[in-house]
Amino acid sequence: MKSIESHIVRRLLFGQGILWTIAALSVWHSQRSRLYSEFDNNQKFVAAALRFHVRNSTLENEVRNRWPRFLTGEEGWHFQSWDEEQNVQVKSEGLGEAELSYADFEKAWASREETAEYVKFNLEGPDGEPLRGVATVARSFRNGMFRRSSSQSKDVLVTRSRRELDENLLWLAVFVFVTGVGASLATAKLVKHAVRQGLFSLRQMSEKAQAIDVSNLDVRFEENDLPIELQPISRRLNDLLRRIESGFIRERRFSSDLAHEIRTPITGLKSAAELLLKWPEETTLERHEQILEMANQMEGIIESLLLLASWESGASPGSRDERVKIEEVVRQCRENESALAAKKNLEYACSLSDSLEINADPALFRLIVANLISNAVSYADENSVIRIANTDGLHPVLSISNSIKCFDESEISNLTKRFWRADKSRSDNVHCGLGLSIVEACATRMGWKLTIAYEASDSVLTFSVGPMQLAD
Amino acid sequence: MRVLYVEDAFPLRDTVALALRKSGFAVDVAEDGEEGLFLFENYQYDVAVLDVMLPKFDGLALMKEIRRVARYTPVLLLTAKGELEDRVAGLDSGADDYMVKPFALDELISRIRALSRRGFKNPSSVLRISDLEVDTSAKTVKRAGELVKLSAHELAVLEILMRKAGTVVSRSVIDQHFYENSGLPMSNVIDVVICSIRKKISLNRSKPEMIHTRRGLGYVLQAE
Repeated sequence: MKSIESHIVRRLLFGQGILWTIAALSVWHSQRSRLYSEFDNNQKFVAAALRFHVRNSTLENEVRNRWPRFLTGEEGWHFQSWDEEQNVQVKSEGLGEAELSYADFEKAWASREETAEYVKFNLEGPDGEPLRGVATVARSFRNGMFRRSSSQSKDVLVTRSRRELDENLLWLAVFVFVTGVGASLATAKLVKHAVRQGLFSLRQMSEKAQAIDVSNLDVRFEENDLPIELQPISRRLNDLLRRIESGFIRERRFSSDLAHEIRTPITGLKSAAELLLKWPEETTLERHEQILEMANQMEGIIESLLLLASWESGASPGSRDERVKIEEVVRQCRENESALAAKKNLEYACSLSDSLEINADPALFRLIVANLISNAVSYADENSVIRIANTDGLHPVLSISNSIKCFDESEISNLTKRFWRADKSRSDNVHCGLGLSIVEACATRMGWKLTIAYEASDSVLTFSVGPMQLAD
Repeated sequence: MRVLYVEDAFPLRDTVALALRKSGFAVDVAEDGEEGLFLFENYQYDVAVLDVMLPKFDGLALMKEIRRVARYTPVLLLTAKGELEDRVAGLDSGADDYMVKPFALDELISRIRALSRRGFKNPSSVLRISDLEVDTSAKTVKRAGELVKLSAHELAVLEILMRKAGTVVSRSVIDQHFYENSGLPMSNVIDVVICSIRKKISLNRSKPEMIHTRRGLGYVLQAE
């Protein structure tokens, strides 16, 4: 693709070339016509006078008195007249023995317009001199037309050298051409400069855009100082850059978080391997169990990520719609967390109806409940109560609340971010900061919504999912 | 050498602590910042190895407390946070060294050893008194060019006596440096270890004694 600048310059120069050519041709033609007209008018006047004098036999005196140049043939001034028999009747002395060609006269006269009194044409003199001739006839005016008078018919041809006229025309042509070329060059330069100036902002924008790479995504385009045509482009580009930058930051943070989560179990595995290689006598069952635990932790992270990735890409099959008993799933998930709940002396306040059944994907629903209960048990204050309840109606909402005193309400929006943790340390090997991301993804997949609210006065954090669809 | 190791991930903590003990360090472990601070306030450590992201107190806050309690104790930060700004923040907060997970155990042990040497006048890894030579890196002991085999504990005790050669090292110092807070009757263990070292480095009494008992004070290593 060629540059816009060269494209516009080329188009403008082409257009300007055509305009200059038209202008030059117009000047040339108008000037040429003017010169010919002046030239011919003078000759026409002489021809008219000669026609009169030839008819009245007063020619000789007139020539001698008024047009002595016919005597010498100076500047190609000649005249000649023929009778109706095409015999030369009279001719200027300057011609000497030579004669002007009647054939030229006849040809020119034949090509004239019907009503024309004079015919102007180019011819060659007897000595090869380029001549301009004006032909006319002695005639009478009858029936609205000029006609040759049969009795006194005299064909008169007056010539004059064309050399000076041709020289003038040549000089005019040269002048027009040189002026045209000069003007064209000057205009081309002006056009180029103007286009360059006009496209300066675009070029600046292009250079700035070209310099953008992953290391400087914080660069922004000017929005207000640009020409109005470029302002919307600049705004959209800035919007795009902002989104790309935040995407990169998110990706970098995700990679960093993932690396961070994976590093500790990898270090554990590596250290265990090094320890056992160096001190094989330390190979114990307990050590193997630790290694397995670390491997399981890594597997859990990777499985969770793959699960989220497959849902996001739409690669996993759609959710099934089956009858699910909420109370049953909650009870099973509570049992899974019973050891930690007992250790922290947590109580459950469960107000779920035994018969409450909803339409849901059983596996996704179990993932939601398991993660929410595990989360509540892990982060609830010791000796507190975890409340599990549902709203009534056709579209119930399940909510799980736990007491947590050290919670910053502003962190609610971060809770579903991947690898985000309330407790920045890995104080356990169960949570890796993906649980609530999975809950949100599961809820979205079933057309539900996860909402999180913190009641600061009671220090209660509540997770709600719904609205669900009651089973028929 | 006595090391405090604070790490919240149990399997890693257990593995690294065992490796350090096998390398001759006395190791106390803590699973959170609060416990780590408690140990540090109550015992004397040659080096503290801290994870940065810890429950209750994070590693950087714990390090500030350590600096308040024991200003010159070397601190090594051992963390999964490996970004440049994390490393700079860790070192600028007062850490003497910074290691990013995953690490090689041997490198960790060498760095802890290098940090522990900073507290002594002779920071070299090869110590010589008369014809007794201890290479703390290669873990070898030679007397008059002859190789002497010592256990990890014996080597650690001999190293502190060598580093403090000519000065009396009390039982409590040895206890503090080399034995964990396990509740065992330490005084007897130290006597047994000193006796064994004496026997080994005198090449079965063929060479003059170098470790002398200062009754009621402790032990001193010097060439007679």
